[in-house]
Amino acid sequence: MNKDGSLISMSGVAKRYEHFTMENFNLQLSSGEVLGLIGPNGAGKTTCLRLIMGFISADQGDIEVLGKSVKHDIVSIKQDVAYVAEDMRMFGNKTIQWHMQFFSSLFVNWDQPYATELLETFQLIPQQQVKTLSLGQRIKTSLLLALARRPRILVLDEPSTGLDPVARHELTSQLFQIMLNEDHSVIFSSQFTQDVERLSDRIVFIDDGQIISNQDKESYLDSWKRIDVCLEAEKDLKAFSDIKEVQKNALNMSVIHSEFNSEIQKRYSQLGYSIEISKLTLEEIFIAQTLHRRQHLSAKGINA
Amino acid sequence: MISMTQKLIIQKDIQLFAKSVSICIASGLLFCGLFMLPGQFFIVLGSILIITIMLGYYPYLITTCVTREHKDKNTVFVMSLPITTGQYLFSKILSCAILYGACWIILLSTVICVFYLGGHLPALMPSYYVVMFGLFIPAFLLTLLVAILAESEGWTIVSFIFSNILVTLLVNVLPNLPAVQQAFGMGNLNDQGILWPSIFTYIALSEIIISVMLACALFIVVKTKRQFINF
Repeated sequence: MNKDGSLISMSGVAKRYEHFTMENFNLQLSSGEVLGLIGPNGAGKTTCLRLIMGFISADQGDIEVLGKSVKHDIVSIKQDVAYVAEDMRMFGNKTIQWHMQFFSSLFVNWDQPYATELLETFQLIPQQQVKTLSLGQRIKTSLLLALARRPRILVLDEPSTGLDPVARHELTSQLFQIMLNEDHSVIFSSQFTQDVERLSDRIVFIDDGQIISNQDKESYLDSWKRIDVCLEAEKDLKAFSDIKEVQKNALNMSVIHSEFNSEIQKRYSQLGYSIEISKLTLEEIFIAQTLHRRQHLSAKGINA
Repeated sequence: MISMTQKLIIQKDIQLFAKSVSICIASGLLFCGLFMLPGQFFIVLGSILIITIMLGYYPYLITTCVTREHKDKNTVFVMSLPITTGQYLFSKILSCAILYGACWIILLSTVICVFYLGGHLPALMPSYYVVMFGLFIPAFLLTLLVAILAESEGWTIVSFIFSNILVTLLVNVLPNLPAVQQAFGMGNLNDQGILWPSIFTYIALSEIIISVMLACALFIVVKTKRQFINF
């Protein structure tokens, strides 16, 4: 564990590429927590996870995992941290069984009975060559190898990308079940907000290499609300600083608030408007937040 | 000291290339048989075929073992194992060196044995082959260095073409050197034993120096490379 009690700690991390910059990035993962990273393409989710795994080195800042520095102790860190990504390829002409044996000789905590159980859960045939597996089966094999290692932390980089809706639903259901049954600390990224909404305890929204919000799931989802109000209210919307989107139609308008609370509700009534409050899904929040940020940046003359 | 992960990666590579390296060695051994046949034609033919094997195998080995792992995204998988970038690269160098080294040693020693058995061959042949096989080492190391530095199949092929042209040029220049021509006319192995003209010492020394320099460059790359370009 790190000094601050977290399992993963990124402080003041910077990573610069020609067309992408991550600056002053701070993130923590607590024990037993499932942290979901969301953000548009190129936001920095994969960069963040690859920095944690030591695949790429930070230009600035400190990354500590399980109390060890990623820069100096990456081999020992990787004994306890498993990584699965959609674009990760195992050795094509080797079988699942071969990969299981390969992992069992590498990891002291390899749990063979659990691996056998996962083979059944994921309906995988150990004698099958990796190159003959479908994308879904390949991801399940990677997950099997990662989980049967009994890692202290699981890092998943968009594991369900590229899967058809049925395969994705099946995979997230199985993953959800595993996470419920086992005490896992997980950090994962996904473009599928339903997956993040379903699996995570905390949601971190990243855009353009920066953390835009970092909150526990309940309060994050709770703070975003859609308010249906009459068109006349438009002139008074300046009174609210947290409005992310306004959509007008013939009779009324929808206003999206990112920090909705009883105070805001009271303010509407003080202004004499009757409102209808509805919840937003994470997908709606994701779209509203991304578009609002892009509009805000383009108004400032910065390319998002 | 190499770690368990490195050992397993090397083991996997050797298993993966066992078939191709065996085919290479077997065909090389078969071509060595040509030296036993009478006439200069078979010596030339055998030499051309053996040179072709040696020049053809290392680019295949390096592109498949090193650069294709990047292209096929195997490196993301391998790097999730308890291993550093340097350790991974060192394993790849060792795998290639073991596989190509096995081919090199077996074929060279067989050729020399065959020359001894057929004592009628020119007395220069064993040392000539040692010097000629020596050319393959810097060519192999150069291609390996480019493959590790550039992580690209394209650049690996460019470096192979470059090293191949150089080796082919030298292989053609070598027998036409006056000292070598003179030594070729000095009789057969039965009468003279092995001949080692002084020019071979200079050529062999150059091969050793260039190989050591390339090996040092590889060592520096392995020690300093912190991440892959394609990550």
